[in-house]
Amino acid sequence: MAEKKIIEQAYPSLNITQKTIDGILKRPSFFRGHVRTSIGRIYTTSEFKKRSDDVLGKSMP
Amino acid sequence: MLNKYDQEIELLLKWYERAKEVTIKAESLDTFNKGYIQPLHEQRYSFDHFLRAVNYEKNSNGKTDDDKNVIKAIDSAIGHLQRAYSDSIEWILVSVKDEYDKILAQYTNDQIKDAFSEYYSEIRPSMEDITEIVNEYKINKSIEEVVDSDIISAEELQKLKKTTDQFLSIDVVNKLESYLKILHKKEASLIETKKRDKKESRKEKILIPILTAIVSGVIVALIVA
Repeated sequence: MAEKKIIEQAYPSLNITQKTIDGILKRPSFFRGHVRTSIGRIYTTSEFKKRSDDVLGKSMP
Repeated sequence: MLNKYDQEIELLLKWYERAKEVTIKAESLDTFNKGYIQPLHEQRYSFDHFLRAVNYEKNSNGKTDDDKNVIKAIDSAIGHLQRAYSDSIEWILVSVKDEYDKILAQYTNDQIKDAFSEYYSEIRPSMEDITEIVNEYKINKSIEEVVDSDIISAEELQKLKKTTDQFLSIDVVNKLESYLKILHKKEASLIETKKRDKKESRKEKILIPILTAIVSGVIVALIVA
């Protein structure tokens, strides 16, 4: 029988919405290191997932 | 502090450097100049687990369980860095593949074969392999943490571990970067090939009808004469 491991507190995947982005723009100091992030040019989770599925799902020319 | 755990800390450092480098590259290669926060958050969670390890050691009473807790916390920190790494790899792959799609869509297969022969022989198969490995890793990565014979057998777990090891060990980033550089270098040749084809097709569309008309005119003149 395989050993049962107890999972430590697992962090849920971050769901980045427009509200998250607005929150970041209000408090840019948390994300100061990344220029695009601190000016609000950020993929929402659904946007990135859709783009990834579209691009990786298509066959190449 | 954490002196007993040199090996684990060394591995953590290696993964930190790897994850950081790849996340920064992914940002710089993004086609739309946008940021993606998930890798940054994985790095933040990793830091949190690392500090838990420090805390466990600080409050330990020398029991075996305390050692296990410290090692488990460092392993979790490494796990989050691996996730930052894999999220950034996916991000880079999307950017590079998108760039290939957009640029090569302007040319015919023959033009690509003439000007960019290594695309069909080497680059496209390699990128398709990388895409498959990334997709398999995405499906499997969250299952790895649960080891329970009712959910997953030991063989299936071995297969998952193999997929993960394959993904984490291949130097995907350097390959993808080099493919992007090659594409940009070949653009000039592709444009030249397209211009050449256009000239030839213009010749065919103008010269041949003119020659045909002249020859027909001569034949008609001879007949009439």
